[in-house]
Amino acid sequence: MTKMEFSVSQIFIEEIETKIKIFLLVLFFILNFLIILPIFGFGDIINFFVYKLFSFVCHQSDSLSFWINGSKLAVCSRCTGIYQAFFISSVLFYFKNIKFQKTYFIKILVISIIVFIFTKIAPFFANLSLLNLLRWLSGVLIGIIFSYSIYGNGGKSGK
Amino acid sequence: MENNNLTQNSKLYLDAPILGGLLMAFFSVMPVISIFNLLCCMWLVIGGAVSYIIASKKDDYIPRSTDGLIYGALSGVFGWIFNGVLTFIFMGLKAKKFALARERLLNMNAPEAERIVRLVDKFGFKMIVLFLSLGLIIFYLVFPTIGGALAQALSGKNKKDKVQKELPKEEKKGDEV
Repeated sequence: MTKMEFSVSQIFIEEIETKIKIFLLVLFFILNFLIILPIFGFGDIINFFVYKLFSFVCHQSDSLSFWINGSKLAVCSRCTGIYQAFFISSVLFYFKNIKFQKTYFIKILVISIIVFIFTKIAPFFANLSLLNLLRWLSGVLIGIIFSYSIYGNGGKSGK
Repeated sequence: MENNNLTQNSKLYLDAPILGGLLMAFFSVMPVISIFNLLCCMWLVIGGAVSYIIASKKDDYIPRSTDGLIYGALSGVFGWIFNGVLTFIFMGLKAKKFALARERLLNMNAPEAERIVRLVDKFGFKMIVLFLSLGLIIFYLVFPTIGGALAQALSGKNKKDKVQKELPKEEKKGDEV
């Protein structure tokens, strides 16, 4: 059986890393745009495709999503937080050249787990708008973790 | 010296992203199990992480700070291809059930349900599935990459200094030859 491996140069790897990082930024910009697309009221067909596309990754529950101008965003409040925080923190990490430190990573991870658990207890005492805000906050922390794991080991040049 | 490091060749395993891609596509298409994708695209993130873990367990694996990103992204591309194939196979197997669901929606006498059925009829069911499968690439490129990077961050192998410690060893070997 032939081995499924390629020999690649370090320059190629560095180039690919930078390209993937920029590509992810662009993709998250598109995703953030798609999430708010239903509020512009472009019509049933576009809304149908946007909601259907995001139904693959989100439950899109009416009560657990943000509503703007009578239109529901394409994803729930937590996912909205993830996409927004990922994009914004990625831009910051990318241009600030932040070095990855596992202790910070673990700290943010622990805080986000605590907030996540808190959102599961919150329905017993918090109203819906506060719950959505908490869910959004937990999403923001998850988004920061996601972007820190990618952009935390170096910005533009990956150095 | 820096140039030597940069031009030096290193290995990129393909079986790891293929396996990771197959795993994420299979679990994303399966009816009940796919529901876990609603948790931050869990199967996609896991698929990306698995592909990095498989690659990092290889005997001749040399850690690079970019491995999580690269294996994650590659597994996403393979996963998207497998997902397309599996979706169409699954659609063929469940064609009768889809027809029944369409009839049920029409019999509900709900304007929203009728509107959806009309939309599906307008484009054709297969075309809609095709459009959505193509659209899914955006998630298959993003989440497995995050999964790979997360796995690397948690394994602690993404520190540049660790990677660079490995590289001079290889360079010395090259110099001796």
